[in-house]
Amino acid sequence: MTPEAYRASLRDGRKVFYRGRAVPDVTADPELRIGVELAMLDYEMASNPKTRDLALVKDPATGHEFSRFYQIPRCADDLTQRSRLIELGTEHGGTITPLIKEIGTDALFALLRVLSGEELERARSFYEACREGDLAVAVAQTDVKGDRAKAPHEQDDPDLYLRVVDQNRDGIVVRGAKAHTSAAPNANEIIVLPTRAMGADDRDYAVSFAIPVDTPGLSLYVSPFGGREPNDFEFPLSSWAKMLESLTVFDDVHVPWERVFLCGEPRGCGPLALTFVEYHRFTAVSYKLPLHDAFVGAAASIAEMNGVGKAGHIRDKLTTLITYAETVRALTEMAAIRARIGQNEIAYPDPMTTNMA
Amino acid sequence: MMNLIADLTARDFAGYHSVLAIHAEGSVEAEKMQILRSYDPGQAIARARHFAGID
Repeated sequence: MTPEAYRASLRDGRKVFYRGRAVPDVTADPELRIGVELAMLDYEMASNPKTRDLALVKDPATGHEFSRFYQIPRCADDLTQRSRLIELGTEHGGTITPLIKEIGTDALFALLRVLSGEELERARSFYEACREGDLAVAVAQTDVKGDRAKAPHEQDDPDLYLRVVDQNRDGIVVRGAKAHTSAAPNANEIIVLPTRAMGADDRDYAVSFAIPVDTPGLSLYVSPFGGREPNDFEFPLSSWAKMLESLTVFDDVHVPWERVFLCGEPRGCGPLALTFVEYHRFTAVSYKLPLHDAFVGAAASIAEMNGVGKAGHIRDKLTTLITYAETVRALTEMAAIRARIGQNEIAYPDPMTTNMA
Repeated sequence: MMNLIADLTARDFAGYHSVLAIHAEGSVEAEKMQILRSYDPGQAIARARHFAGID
């Protein structure tokens, strides 16, 4: 998709609320549009001649180009290039990641590794549709949770974790909410994943599926973080670098079977949640690198500008900042170099090294 | 440059980044658990036992 086609794709029937009012068009709303514009950077990297070689890959079988985010990693270098693209997108985003392909593909790779049989085929079909459509995909994982000492089925309010309330020939019906769904207000699709491992009594809560954002019964309540600061001279990043996130409410939402990846199988929840974070933590350390560079660069710059760059204690502090930034960078690179091959021959970054980063 | 430093250290934007650093993509506690779980202690234990003269 071109950046403009992506923006236009968000003008569908989605139900978005912000600060107590309905938002019919997230692309036109004066505050929410800046989150849309940041997310467009993912698509701009693909159309910019300077960045398209990193942003796009070619299918060797068909010669067709698609977003590198959608390339299933098979070796260490695939993960290295993915990390570089995430880092570049975050640089363009002023330390805020566009996230509309990074997190969705982390979830897709987890589904493609963990699932088998019919559910795997559904996940593969969904993956191909997202890749061919070059779609923006958010991930809703974190439940509201309630009393964290209790299992989902033990909660006083049964809707504190998202659950299946009905099943029929056509699909399932789900009810509940997911919190902190990054980029949902400006995504095309949402993948729902379980947030934790579950026991046999949690079977209604053991669910994973994907739905378009404009599905009936789905409402997004966008959190009031930030808002537009007056100008970009005084607020060089905070005036425009913004990611939207929502409390995502499922009010008896129907999901057709072809979009259901896990249902009523509690044993699948832990592996799916853990496999997702094998990719998503690697994404996180990759997107931290521009922020760390900003700390080092701002410190070095202001020291020079103030004429104190040669002072002993300043140099000591700079060394500490540099060591921090470059340690994370080195561990991130090493996590990709130490790639392992998982189920269905899909590579993943070394978990220990990723978590150390 | 001072305005950038204010954004990175002293404003809501800085607070947001602080929370992301701790909580986004998994808590620090979850990360520590994963390090321990993923670590293969075989070589380390073998070396320690060898140095201790046990093996």
